[in-house]
Amino acid sequence: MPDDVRSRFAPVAANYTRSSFHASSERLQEVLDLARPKPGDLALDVATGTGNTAFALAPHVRRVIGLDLTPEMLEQARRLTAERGIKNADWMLGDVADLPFADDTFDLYTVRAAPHHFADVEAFLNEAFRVLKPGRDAAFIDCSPPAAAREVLHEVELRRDPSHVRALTVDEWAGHFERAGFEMEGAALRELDWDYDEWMRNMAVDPALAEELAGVIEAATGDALVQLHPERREGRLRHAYWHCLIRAHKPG
Amino acid sequence: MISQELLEILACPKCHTKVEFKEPDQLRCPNCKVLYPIVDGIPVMLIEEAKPDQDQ
Repeated sequence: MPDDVRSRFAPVAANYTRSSFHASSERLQEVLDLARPKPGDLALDVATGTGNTAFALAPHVRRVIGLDLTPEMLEQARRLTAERGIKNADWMLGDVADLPFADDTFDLYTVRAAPHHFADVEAFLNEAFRVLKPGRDAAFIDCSPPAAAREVLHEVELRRDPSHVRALTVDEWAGHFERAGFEMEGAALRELDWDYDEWMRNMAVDPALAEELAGVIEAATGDALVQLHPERREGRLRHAYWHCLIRAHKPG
Repeated sequence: MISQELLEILACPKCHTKVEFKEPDQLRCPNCKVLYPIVDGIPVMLIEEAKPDQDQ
């Protein structure tokens, strides 16, 4: 599975440093509002990709570690670290299911827009729990469509990016968090006005396939159509997309 | 080269024992007796990329 993720993200790494979702100030503020970093924190951002979330955290914490599976993504992060003169960010290759840290190491754990790639959700959350200090929090954002829309988007996501595994609903995530030992501090669902074309471009999807998959979304029926409400604005497809925002606490 | 603070928190992904810096560019787990490479300044902390430490 890790090789699959790598082979998908290596060729498109630069796209993620400027994506209007992944690098937008509004979306990054959302992470800060959820994570509430503190000046003394040692923070871990997993599946950091090109480091967008870690860079947002850096000015607000003592030190941030960005971990990812794909060397090409981290090369972008390292280039930006040097360009921006950031001194308190470090990068490493690692797997969310086997984190290279002792127990109770971090004051803050973040992950954004990545867990839908993770094959072993249980191992991912058990590791998050393990490396967090007792009494500290994890901030978690991932795509999380309602059930009917998920059935449509699942096909689109898989064909856009075969390293997609499955998006979970907020309730499903809440169950996983609790089984890992976390206390849920808050779980919210946010509907976004999604720029379909850019989403496809981030993954360098072939235009013919992108058009075919746009047709899949526009052909949704019933609840899925109501939820997705696709429309063309100046020829560009827009539709709903959802993120869940979860803050979870390690008791202690 | 990796930062001192990073070295202080890095552990073996398999057994979670703290790793030690080994010249010129490796991290050694004293428990598993394996080496994790540092490539272009980035530690590669993946279990499947660890190599046996021949000095053991």
